[in-house]
Amino acid sequence: MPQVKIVARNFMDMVASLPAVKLDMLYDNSFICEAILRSLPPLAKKYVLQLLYIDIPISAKSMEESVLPDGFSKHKVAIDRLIQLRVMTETFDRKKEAMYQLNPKFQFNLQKHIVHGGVLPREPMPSNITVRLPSLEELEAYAVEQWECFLLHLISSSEAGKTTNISSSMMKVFQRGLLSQRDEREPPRLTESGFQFLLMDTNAQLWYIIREYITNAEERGVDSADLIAFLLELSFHVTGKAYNTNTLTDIQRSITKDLSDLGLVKLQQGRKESWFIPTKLATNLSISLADTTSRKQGFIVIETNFRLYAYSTSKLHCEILRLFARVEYQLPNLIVGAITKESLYKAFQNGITAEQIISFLQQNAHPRVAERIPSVPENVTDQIRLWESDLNRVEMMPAHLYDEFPSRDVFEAACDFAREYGGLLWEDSKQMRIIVKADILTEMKEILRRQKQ
Amino acid sequence: MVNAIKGLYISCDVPMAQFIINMNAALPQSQKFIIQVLDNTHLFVRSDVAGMIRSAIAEFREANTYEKPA
Repeated sequence: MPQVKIVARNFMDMVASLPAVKLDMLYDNSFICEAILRSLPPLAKKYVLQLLYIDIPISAKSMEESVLPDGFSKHKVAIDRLIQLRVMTETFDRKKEAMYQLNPKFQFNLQKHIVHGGVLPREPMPSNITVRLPSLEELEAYAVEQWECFLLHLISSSEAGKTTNISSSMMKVFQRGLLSQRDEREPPRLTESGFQFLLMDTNAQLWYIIREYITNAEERGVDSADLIAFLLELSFHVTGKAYNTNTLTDIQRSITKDLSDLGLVKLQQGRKESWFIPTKLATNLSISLADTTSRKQGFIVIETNFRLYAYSTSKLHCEILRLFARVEYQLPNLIVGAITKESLYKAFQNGITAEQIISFLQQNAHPRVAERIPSVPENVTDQIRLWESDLNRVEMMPAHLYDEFPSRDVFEAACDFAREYGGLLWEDSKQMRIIVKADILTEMKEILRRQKQ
Repeated sequence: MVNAIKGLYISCDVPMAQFIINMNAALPQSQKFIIQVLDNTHLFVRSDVAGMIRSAIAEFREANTYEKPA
């Protein structure tokens, strides 16, 4: 599998990259302190708890004393992480020795949090006001539906039946890097990274979108620290419980509107009050991505005759398949298509590689065929690779042909020189001719001039 | 005096080399682009013909396919 270009780093890396002033602002909120503590590596957690009730700086030496020699790299990672997140500050005393101290704000908030327990700024609403709360399954289905609708919008706005409320300028921001438009009249095409994006699992996709959303917050007049604080806070809410929207600030209210389009929260309106219900997508947000490797159930069956059956009701799946296969007909729960040379050429032109297609097919194999090895018939995978290599049958390279060498010595010297630079493409020692890559023309000229003298 | 000629070094399989040689042979003398046939799978051609060769190959490839009408 080729290296995925879209790096799905986790939330905390993003937090760590914030400027110091913003970080200090974030630590005003005790939930963020807790979220940060949760995200730390085990050793770093230990250090934070160790230092929690110590108000004076501790020398680095005394901390290193308890570290075994082979644990030193872990110690280093933990300390670096703490300093990077400004949880701990490094100072130097008069003897130029490093001293560590917890960030006072962080320390204070965490102390408070431990003693009093965390209290969310808002309580779940009593059930006599919120009459018809969706069940967890309904909520999950809602989240998935919203998310798919959003993705569909993202890759082709014409295909999506339902409209989302996300402004077209927001959509443009999300599409940047995933789609490219060669011509104004032409519909935008999915780029290589766009295809890779579609292959990622939902959490990674969500994170990518949220990251774009955060980095563009400033343009919309929203402070990115506020946004991060709210998103982290949201991840501490209970899935499926209703929270009153009048507890939110104006900015937060507009953020929840955007989030509901992504399926992170569900907005509902009662007779007087309105409330939002966080879904699983929202509460999973602060979990680091590595922990959530839930495999989605596959849906694709491929036969040795290149026919493709996809047991799916999702329009999104149909759109993804359309990228590299010819969809022949659609039944309510089944998409039937074929992988043809033409459909693959179209995919290759869009910068999708054979390996990506094959790994997509393998990862999404229907459970019935997934247990078989190989899950995608070998003749199909081989043919996909062959068709791809068929496109690259001719390789061209700018070069120079050198001939009419005055003597064999000069020829040999030029040969050796070109070989040394890794630029010798072809040589004919009988007729004294060589072909050398164009990039070392100036060096070759130089060496030949020197030979002449 | 050593002479340097600018061009393109092409490496491909035998049928493709033959295809390019044949393409060259079909052109009038003034438009011939192969400077040197190096061996079975390597050619040295004028530097301005890359696009022309690629499009000719694409055309050749397309002539071999048939797409079922939808």
